[in-house]
Amino acid sequence: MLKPARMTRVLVAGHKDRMESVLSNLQDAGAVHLEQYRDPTGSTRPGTSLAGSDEVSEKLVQVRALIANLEVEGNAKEIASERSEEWLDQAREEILPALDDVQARAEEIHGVRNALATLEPFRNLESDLTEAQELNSVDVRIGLAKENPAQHLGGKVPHEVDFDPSTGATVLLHTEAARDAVAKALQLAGFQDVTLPARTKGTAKESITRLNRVLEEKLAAHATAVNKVDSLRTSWADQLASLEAKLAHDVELASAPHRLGMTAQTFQLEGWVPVAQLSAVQASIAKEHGESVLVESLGDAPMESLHAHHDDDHGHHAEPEDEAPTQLQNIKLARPFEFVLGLLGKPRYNEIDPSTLMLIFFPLFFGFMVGDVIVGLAIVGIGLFLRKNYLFGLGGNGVAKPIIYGGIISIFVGLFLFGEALGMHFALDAEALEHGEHSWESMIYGKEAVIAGEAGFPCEGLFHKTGCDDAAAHAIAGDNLAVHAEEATHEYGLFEPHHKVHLAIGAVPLGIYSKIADIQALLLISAIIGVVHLNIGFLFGIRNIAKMHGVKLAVQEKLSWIIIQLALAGVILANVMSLGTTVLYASLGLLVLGVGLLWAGVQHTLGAGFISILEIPGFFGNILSYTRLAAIGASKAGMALAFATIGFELIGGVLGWILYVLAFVGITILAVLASSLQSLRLQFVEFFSKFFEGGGRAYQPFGGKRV
Amino acid sequence: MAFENNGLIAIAASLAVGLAGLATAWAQSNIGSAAVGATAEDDKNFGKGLVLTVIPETIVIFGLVVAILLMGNIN
Repeated sequence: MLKPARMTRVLVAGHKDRMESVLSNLQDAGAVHLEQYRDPTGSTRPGTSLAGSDEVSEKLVQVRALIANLEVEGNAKEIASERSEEWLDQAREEILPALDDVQARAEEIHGVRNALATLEPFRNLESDLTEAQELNSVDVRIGLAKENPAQHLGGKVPHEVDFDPSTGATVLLHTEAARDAVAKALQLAGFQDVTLPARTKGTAKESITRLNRVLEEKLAAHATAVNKVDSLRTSWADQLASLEAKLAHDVELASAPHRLGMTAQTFQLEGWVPVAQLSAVQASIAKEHGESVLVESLGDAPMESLHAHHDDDHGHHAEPEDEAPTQLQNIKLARPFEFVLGLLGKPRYNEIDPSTLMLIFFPLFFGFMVGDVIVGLAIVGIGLFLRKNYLFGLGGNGVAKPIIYGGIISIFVGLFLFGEALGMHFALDAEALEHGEHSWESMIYGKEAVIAGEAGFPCEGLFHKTGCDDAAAHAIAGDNLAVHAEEATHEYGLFEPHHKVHLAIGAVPLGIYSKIADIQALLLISAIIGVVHLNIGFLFGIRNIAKMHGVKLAVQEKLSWIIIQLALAGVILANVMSLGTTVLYASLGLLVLGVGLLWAGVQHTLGAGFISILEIPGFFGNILSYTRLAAIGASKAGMALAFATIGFELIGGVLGWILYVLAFVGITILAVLASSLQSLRLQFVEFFSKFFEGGGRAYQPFGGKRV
Repeated sequence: MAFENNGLIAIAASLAVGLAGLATAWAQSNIGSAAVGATAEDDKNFGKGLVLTVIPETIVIFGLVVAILLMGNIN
C-alpha cells in the first residue's frame, strides 16, 4: 500500500531457435518489463526483428489510418489471426471508397457554390451570357466595373452594354475594331474580367436557378454518402479496434528481439518481473521448454549503470533508469490519486508511494476549507456529474473521485466543526444576530423572536439548542448597557469559540467554530495541522533517504529538522512556562546540534552548507502556508455574509432567497476550484518536498495492456 | 481631519490585501500565460502548468491573514 510492487530482475537465456517461442510465451504472460540488454563484455549484438515484421507493421499503419479517417473509437476484443487478414481486406474495400465518395461530393458541392457566387452579381442582367460569347463578329467583355463603361465611350463607338449599377456587373458587346477604345473605357471604369463558370447557359438568372437545382441534388448525394460512412463507422468500430490491438500485439512481438542480446547460437533477455508473478512466468516457460531455457531471478538491486558516474563516499547512487520500474499497488479508493500523482511524476521504486497519503489528507484539507453541509452536497453532485462528463477539459475519474471524497468530508466538517449549511449557522447567539448575522433558527422562527428568546429551537430533547440560559439572560437584560459592555470586553481564550449557542444532537454539538468570528483560533489550528503534516513528511523523508542514500544522510537531511523543531519548542516553552535555565540551555544546545546536522547534510547535497540557514525561514514559510486552510474558509464565509446581508436585509423575501442561492452557485464553483487546487498544492509543494523525489519509470510489461 | 483608530486599522487591512493581490496577480499572470502556451503544445502539461500557476497564491493568502488579524483589533 505504501510501497510499489516488489520487482525482481530476471534473466532468460537459451538457444536462438527457441527465441521466438519464448518471446511469445512471455508476451502471453504479460508480466515482464523488458529492458534493453546491456552487455559490458561486448560479445552480444542486439537481435533483428522477427520475420514478417515489415508486413505486420504496414498493416498496422493501414488500420490506424482507417481508424483516424473514420474517427472511430471502439472496444477491442480478442480475435484470431486468420480473421484479421480477411477483416483488413474487407475493411479497406468498404471503407476507403466510401470515404473517397464523401470527399468527392464535398468537392463538387464546393465547385457549384463557387459557380453560384461568381454568377450572383449578374443576376439582374437580362443579357443572355452564352449567346453573346458565340457571336463571331462581335467581341464581348463580361465582368465587374465600378461605373458604367459606356460613359467613357464616345458616340462613335458602336457598342451594346448591359450594366447593373448595384453590383457593377457589366456585359459589353463591341466590334473588333473598337477594341482599343473599349479597353481604355473599361480601364477608366475600373473594370475587371470575370470568368464565367463552365456550365453557364442562357441568362444569369436561368443559370442560377439551374445551378441551385444541381446544388440540391449534390447536397442530397453528399448526405447519403455521409450516412453511409456513419453506418460503416458504427459497424466497424469495434472490429477496427480489435484489429488494431491484435496487430499492435504482433508488432510488439516482432520488434522485441531488438532488445535482446544475441550471440551466434544463443539469445539473452533481461527484464523486471513483479515478485508475485515470477513463478507464473517461470512455469509458462518451463512448460514448453523444460530445462532448455534458463530463467533466473537476480533480485531487485539496480542494474549496473554503464553511464559514467562519480564515485563519492557512499558509492554510486542509482540512476532512475537503472532501478526497477514502478508498479503502484493501492486500494481501489486511492486509484484516482495515483492518476493525480502521475501529473507530478511517478514515485521511484524505492520510494514511499504517497497515493494513500493523498487519499487521507486531500479530502481532509478540502473539507476543512469548504466546511458547509449544503455546499458539500452540491460538490458531491458536481463530482458525480464529472465522472462521465467533461467540463472545460476536466473530467473523468481522476478528477471526479477526489472531489467526491472532498465533498463528503465537507459535509461532516460542516455539520460538526462549523455547524453551517449554505453559509448560515444552525443557531447563533443573540448578540451575533443583533450584529447582522443570520442563522437558520432566525430564518425559521423570525429574528426578533429569537433575540427576545420567545421562539427558536427547543432547549430540551434530542435536537436542542445549547446555551439557552445565556440567551435567556441576554433577553432579560435587554437594553441593559452594563451586560453588553461586559460581553464586549470578554477576553477570549486562544481556542475558545466566540459563539456560545449551538444546535446539538444529544451531547454532540453541531458546530463549534465560526469561520469569521473565530478566525484566530482557526489560523492556529491550521498551523498546528501544518506542523503535524510536515513532520509526517519528514518521517517519510527519513525512511526514503535511508533506503536510497544511507542512514547518515537521512539523519543529516531530515532528522535534523525534527531536532530543530523540538529544540525551538523547548526554547519557547522554557520561556513561557518558566521551566528553568537547564531546559533552556539544553534546548539551545539541541538547536545548535540540529542546525549543524542540517549544515552537514546540505553541504553534502548542494556543496554549500550555509544554505541550510536560508532553508530554516523557508520551513516557517511552509508552516504559515497552511494558514490558507482557514483563510480560504474565511473568504467564502465572508462572501456568504455579504450576500446574506444584500439578499435578506436589503432585498428580502423570496427574491432575496433566490439571489442568495444564485450567489451560492458561484461560491460553490469558487470553493471547488480553490479548495481542490490549494489542497493539491499543499500536498505537492509543502508535503512532497519533504520526502518525494519522483522520476520513476512506469511498469510497462511486454504483452501487457496498454495504459 | 481626525484620525480614528478603527479607520486606520481598516485602511491598513485593505492595503494588506490589496497590495498582496496585485503582487499575486502580477506573478500569476506571467506563469499562467506560459502554462497555457505549454498546454496548447502538449495537453500533458496541463497538470504541471496548473499547479505552477497556483503556487503564488500564498502571497495573497498571507495578505488576507494579516488583514483578518488586523480586523480582529477593531472595536
